[in-house]
Amino acid sequence: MTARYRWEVAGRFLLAGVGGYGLTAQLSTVLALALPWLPGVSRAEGVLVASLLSFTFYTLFVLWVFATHSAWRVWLIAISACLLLYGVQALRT
Amino acid sequence: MKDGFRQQMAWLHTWCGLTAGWLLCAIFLTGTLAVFRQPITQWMEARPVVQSTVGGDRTAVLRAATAHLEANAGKARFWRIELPGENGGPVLLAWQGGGQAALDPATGALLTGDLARSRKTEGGRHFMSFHYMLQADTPGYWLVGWASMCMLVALVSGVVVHRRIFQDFFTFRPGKGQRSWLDAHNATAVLALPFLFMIVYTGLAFFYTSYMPWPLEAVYGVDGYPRYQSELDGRASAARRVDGGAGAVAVTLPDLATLAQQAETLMARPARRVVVEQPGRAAMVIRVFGPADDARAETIANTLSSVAFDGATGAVLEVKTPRPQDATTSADVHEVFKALHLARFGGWPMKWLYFASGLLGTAMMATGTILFCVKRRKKSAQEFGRATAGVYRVVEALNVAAMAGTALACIGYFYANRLLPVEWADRSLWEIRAFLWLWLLTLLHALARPPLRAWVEQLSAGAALCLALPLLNYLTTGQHLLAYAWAGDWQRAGVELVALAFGVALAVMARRVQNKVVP
Repeated sequence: MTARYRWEVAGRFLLAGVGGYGLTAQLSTVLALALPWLPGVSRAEGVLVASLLSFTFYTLFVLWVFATHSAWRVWLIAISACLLLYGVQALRT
Repeated sequence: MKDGFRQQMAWLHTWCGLTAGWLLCAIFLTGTLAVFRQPITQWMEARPVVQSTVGGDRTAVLRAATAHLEANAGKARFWRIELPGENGGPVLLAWQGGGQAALDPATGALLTGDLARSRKTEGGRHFMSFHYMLQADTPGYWLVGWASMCMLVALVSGVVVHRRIFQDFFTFRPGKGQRSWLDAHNATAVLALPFLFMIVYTGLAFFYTSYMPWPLEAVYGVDGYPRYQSELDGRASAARRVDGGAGAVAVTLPDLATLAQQAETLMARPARRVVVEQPGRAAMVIRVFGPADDARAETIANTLSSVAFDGATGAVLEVKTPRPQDATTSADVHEVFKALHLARFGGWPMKWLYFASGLLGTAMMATGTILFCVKRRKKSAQEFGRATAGVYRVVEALNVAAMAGTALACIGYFYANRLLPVEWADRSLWEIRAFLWLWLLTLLHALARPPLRAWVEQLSAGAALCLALPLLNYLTTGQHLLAYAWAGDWQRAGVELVALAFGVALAVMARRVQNKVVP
């Protein structure tokens, strides 16, 4: 158990907890905005479905963070996905 | 972290389960007790036992209730009359401003003195509030959310780790130390797995607009919740009438007994509660409600039946009954999740099923965290270098406080209810404080004593308190199990019977740990 190992566990904990919540929030928001494009889905139903699915996204992301060999890659993907999803929302307004 | 997908999931399962497990144990045990929050509240309020009178003279009772309310609460904006349900107990009146009274369910006579007195208490609602916010407001609420997410992660990773999930269910090797703990952990988890997934997911979904408010905020703006809710629910909102002001035309009160009778025919269910809005004014509305736990309902959501009458004319304004043929709206999705989480369907058998499943879930978490220690007692994994022994010591203590300690605090709460003076203004607050202080004490005790001794002592104390609960009740209120049973009050009798069963179970556990200490 080296100091490096401890920092890695702490890093993954941070990525899973804080990063996971941030990414989940962005992903559900974009999904809520996009779902009403489907036929028969109202604005409110989009919000409902996206919010309820968010807990599943969060769980899957946490599992991914602890299953992967390279946490750096997940950091990179998570941050770029957040920026991309944020950009989509910014474009809308 | 080790190599290989399964090993990594095992690592995640161990640490996620351990760190969230202590809190989850307390959340699960109190949530399981909260299934029976109404009977617990009734037991704690300790109203006098009244002979059961289902089908008593309701006309006389409702007339007496109306007369009492007109005389004492003529200016109130609403009145509420609770008719007795399956078991006896007085007819309860309440009105705006916190006024309360109790009537004899047979004659309608006003109960006074000892007969009307109830203990001020949070009752079973305390277990429910603790269950979802640990009596710690917003931080507690988010802590429960974090623990729930950890539970979801631990459940999924646990399923991944167990490749032989079906065989494991039929495997139990008792008396084999570590193997037995693992088998018990697997068996309880597999048996309760569908329930565990359902309860943790519906628990998170219960508060989805608070835990994950961002989609709603992006679409509807910061204060968009009411607009979102009305868009989701396509149905017309319930009949509500405008207040004509206190000086508006006075209207004579209709005969509530006749309206209750009429409502029962329309709902095809017994009337359990009558609410009068704007009594004596032109805008008066009278609502008659059916049973809150409708075992006959064919739908899960919106099971509360009610009939609304215009107070001035007696005309029927609205009839609500749970009808499966009605079109469902998207708003029902959340209602169904709530009903699933609260066991608000299926009546008493479903509540017992939830209670049993909740206990299985608690046992699953308990065996899991104990397994962590049993494994490392044999051979230290040296995860924390030189600090390892100290960390294990703290883990052992937290295990004791999370399981035996929570049980002790729960039963201690019942004792606080009976032992704190009835006259105290803040007694309901002190009951909850007693629960929390006792819980903290169990942690200090567990840190101070050798682990196995701490287990034996706390389990024995819990067993003694549970087994002595009927005696305490008799000494402090004069009520007892036989009197409840004789009056047909099975809810309050049930509280004591379950306490006795818990007492026996805790005593057996204490004895088994004791045998380990002195073989």
